[in-house]
Amino acid sequence: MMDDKAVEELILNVKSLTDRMTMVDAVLKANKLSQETVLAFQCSHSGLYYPADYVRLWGRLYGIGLGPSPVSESLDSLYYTEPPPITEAIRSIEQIMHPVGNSFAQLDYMLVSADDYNDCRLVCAHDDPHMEIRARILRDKQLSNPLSKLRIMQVAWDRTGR
Amino acid sequence: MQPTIIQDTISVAAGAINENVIVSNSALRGLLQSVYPARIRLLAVISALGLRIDASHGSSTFAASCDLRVSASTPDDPLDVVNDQAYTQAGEQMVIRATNTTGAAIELRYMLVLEPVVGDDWTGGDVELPPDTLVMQRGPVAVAAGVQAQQLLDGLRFERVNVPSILTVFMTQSATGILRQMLIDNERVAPPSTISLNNRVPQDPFDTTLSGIEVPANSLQLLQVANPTGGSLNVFFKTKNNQLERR
Repeated sequence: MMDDKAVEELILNVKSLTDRMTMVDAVLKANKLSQETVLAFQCSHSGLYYPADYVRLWGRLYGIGLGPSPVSESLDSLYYTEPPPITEAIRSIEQIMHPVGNSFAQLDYMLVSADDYNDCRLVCAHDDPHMEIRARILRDKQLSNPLSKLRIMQVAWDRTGR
Repeated sequence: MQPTIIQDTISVAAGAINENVIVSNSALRGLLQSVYPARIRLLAVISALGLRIDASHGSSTFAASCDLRVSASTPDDPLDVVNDQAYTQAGEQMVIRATNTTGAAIELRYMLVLEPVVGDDWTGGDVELPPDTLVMQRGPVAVAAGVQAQQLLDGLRFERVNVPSILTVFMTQSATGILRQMLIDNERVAPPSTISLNNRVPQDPFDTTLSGIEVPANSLQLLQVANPTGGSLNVFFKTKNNQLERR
């Protein structure tokens, strides 16, 4: 069951999208049947979810610097650009990766089960302001992507003995 | 004489500094020095927040610690111009220094155009050039809830300019609530006012908030913002000092 504060927040989040309250009704009904359902925004590029207040708090908590219209903050690996070269200033191979860029993908609002939402949440920029968590996730993906040149650079790094 | 156009896309490593992005591409090394007196136009965008550039010709910096617009594409001309009013003599070296403070590699897409200011009758040597415009471009800069007067230019390179100049200021905010005011040496030249709501690094001329401000030599430029709302907001700004004398 949702408490009053959660219901109030749900109404505010839905009102940032539309005047129709049918989504509020659907969430309350599902929660009464113990099917915990939440409002979420799905990134059309990654398929992962943002919190329900993403649009309402665009420019305040989310999407800083990405323009006036809410879009996905998700980061994409830019495989067509070579990773930076390994120079003397590089202290760790973790600094070397294909560059990343904001996808600016479309967002779609939807009602999803709380379990799905928790399993498939995106890391937001305000939770990771220096991109450390997201860089780790993307770098691991880059290592296994056939378009990536990282594996070769890892070998080159190991050979330098640094 | 034809203009020289350098356009490239390079990756800057996480937590690293690239001392001159032009030499990251060996094919561009031959274009490092200007072969004639020229007007410089620099355009640039980045793939994600966290990369900052400085640009100079010879020993003169014309763009100091500039944050750039996040874009999934190449720079738009003229919206993504960082500075288009700097002037170089022949032989001066172009430097674009990029600093990445994040944990991920970021892509910088830039275009540097050198438009000759001499004709085919030029026989070499220095010529008389107009003064450079000095640019600073920053954002996002966080402004906490309830802040009354945060000085955005505090300690920055062109907070004071040592020759008289004409100042133009561009600003945007990430969400509604920021008020800005401008003082020159404690004389208020612009009262508190709202700014454009575009949530990105400002573009010339769409995000102009102040223009034609006379700034005497070595005067303190106080660009202050207030946030009377209950939550933190972010502001983006660009200052252009059109110097009236060449240093």
